Amino acid sequence: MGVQKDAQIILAARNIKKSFYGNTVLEGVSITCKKGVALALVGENGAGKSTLMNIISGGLRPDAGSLEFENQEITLSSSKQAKNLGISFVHQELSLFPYLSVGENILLGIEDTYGFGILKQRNIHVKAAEILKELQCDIDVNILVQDLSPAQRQMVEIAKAWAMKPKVLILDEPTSSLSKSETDNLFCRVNDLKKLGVSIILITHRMDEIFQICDEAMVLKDGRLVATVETKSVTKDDLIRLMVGREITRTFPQRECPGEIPPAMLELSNVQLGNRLKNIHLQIPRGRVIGIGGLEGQGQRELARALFGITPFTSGDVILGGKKVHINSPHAAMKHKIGFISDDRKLEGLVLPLSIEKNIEMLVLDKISAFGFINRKKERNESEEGVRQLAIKTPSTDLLVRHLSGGNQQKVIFAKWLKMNPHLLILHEPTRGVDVQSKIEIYHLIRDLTARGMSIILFTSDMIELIGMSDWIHIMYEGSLVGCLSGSDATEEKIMALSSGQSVENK
Amino acid sequence: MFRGSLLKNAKLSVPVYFILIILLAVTSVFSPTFRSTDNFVNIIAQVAPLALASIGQTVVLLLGGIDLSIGSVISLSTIIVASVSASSGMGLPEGILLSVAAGAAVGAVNGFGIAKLNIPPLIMTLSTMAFVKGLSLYIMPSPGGMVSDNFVMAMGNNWGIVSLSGILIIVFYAVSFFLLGGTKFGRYIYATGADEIAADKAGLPGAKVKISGYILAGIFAALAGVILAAKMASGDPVVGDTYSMDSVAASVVGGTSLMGGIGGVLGTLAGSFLISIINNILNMLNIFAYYQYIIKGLILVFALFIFQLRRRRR
Repeated sequence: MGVQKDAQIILAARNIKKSFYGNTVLEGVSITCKKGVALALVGENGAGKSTLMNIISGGLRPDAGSLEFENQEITLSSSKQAKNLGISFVHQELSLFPYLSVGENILLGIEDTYGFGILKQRNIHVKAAEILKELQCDIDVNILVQDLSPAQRQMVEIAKAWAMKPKVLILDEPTSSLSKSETDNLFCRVNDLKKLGVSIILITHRMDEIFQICDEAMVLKDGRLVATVETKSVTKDDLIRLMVGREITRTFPQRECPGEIPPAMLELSNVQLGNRLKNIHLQIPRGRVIGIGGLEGQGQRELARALFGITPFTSGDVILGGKKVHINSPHAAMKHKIGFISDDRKLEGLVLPLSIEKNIEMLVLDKISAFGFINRKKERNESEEGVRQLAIKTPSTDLLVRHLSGGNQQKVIFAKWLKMNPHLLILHEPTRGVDVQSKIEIYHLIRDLTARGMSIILFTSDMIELIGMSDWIHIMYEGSLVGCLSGSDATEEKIMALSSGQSVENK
Repeated sequence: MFRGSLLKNAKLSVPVYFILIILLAVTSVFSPTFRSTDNFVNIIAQVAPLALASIGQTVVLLLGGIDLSIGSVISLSTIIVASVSASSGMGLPEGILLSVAAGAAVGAVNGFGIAKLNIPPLIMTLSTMAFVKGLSLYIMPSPGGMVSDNFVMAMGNNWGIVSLSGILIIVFYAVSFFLLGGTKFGRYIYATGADEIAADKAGLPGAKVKISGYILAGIFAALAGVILAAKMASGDPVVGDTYSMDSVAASVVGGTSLMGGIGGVLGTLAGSFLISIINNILNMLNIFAYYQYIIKGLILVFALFIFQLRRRRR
């Protein structure tokens, strides 16, 4: 399959700029979608892919730049308007209604009526069944979405987009919850759509997918367009080089000489969480970084949150410093000196409308108060120390956390947890949405912490980070740990192989 | 007959019908007065205002909100009907229209504050509750006025077990059942209540749906007030007070979720009967009003517990 050089351009965005709270996310990015062409949009997490897609699908407005649809300049004010034009975005986090049926979901907002808003009930399900049939997907349109598997939900979401007869179809990591055969099936459908002249944009992390169905690949890095290439004229390695674009050693501080393995700080013995985490054995040595990788949604989130007691393990033993412990709440975890940095900074990491100092001192109010009264001077001094240690850029500790950039917010969270002197720190996507400079600072901080004997367990979907930071890397696949690599000889290829469920001999 | 989400929401109302039937059976066995036609007609007349008000409450709960101003709107409505009738003698239609308009206006204010200004429903409707109550007390500090005799007679009359109250209940429940289950508007109420962000992504007119929902709640409260005025043959500035809580109880007992998105009026109908019959039984047993509050409170807490537990198990 080749790209027709002169394929008709359906949608073009030029020089798009966007920043959030002073944090630049897109810096003059252009994209063109051509009729019947599949474009892969690749780049690390936080490169600006989702923001760009939200802009061309009406979810966000650009600060600067122009949009052109079928040779007409347009401004998009809502995703509904974009959908009506023929630009559909299938989001990664699915937006289906669990209590409505499959058919009701697919045609939500575009139902046929008898007039006066009276629904043609039967018609809705018949029509939805036709749409699913077009996608060669056999899901009963009458059952409720809450009874579907993740893969089925993904297909329903695509059917919902397909119901609008889109000219541009954006798929954000559509295969992250699909099995191999489901993925192949989906890609067959995507190929059919291409033949019908639909322009496809596929956001993905999986190299195979890019070469399997995409004609072009567009690489974003830190909000800038690195290159747009034809997939047939590049190799996997070329693409990875474009994505990464910098030497790993330059950004990551030297790791400790692994040599002998220090005694375990925490040990998981055959822990389970329903059927979502299966028979996990894991040792976390003192003063080391254990990385947990794998494709998204393989149980990393569940493991991270179970370790901190948010949704505790349902069976198995957690052994901390040689003693069996029960961690069934975050409170219990903190008592055992375990800290947790969540992947949802704004919701779970910070209290946005409070000041930096109040956020930093949140967990150690006992230390700075007497008889329940907070010593304001102590609070100020203690938090200023935290700000200094982590080089948080702020004019004052009084500033509301809301006004800080992503990187500085993340540093406030680190400062908060360090105040309680944890022995083990669980990091879940610690550098998501963080600028490069802060990323590097956080990497150095992690090394400093391990040098002082703290243990770190790092959950990240950023493979370069995983390789650069971890002393040992465990890969998760469908709720199990399927392989362990030493950080120094891990490569993206080995990790990818393990992540997709293939076993690797040289452990 | 039912498919998709209709079926699920219909299933949710099964337990309350089960409980209602058991309660009716047990009470009928023990009390000859209870099983008389007169008492049956009486119960239907008694349940009518609550049943109508609860339709509106259910709509608002489905939207993920709550309307505490329903009780005050009911009181205001009785006062409007009683005053307009008293002053002109012939003003029943005007009185009904005026009270429905007042109910719709309160609903519109609630809806605007909640959908456009993002005021939490509890606070917004608590405020209008206080305002409307004050207004009622200002217009008519103590019960009074008069309601057209023909209307009072018509509402009090019965032909066997058939009465105007019963007919009104059936008509309004049929209409609202169809509105929620068979129209775009109804579908959007469920969707908006279940997940506002997803509804927005799907391009649904969330704010419009919400405002319309609160207006409906105001209108149904006003209609409940009209019926209540006919029953009392007068207006009363505090008569509606218990209806806010009772309508929430009737909806929740009937399977509608406080979190929005699931439930429906089918269960609310049985829920209203359940709450009214419990009131009826407590009255027949001569139980003090204070204890009645306590017992109803316990029932509501119990219903909420059951519901929460059911959610958590998911």
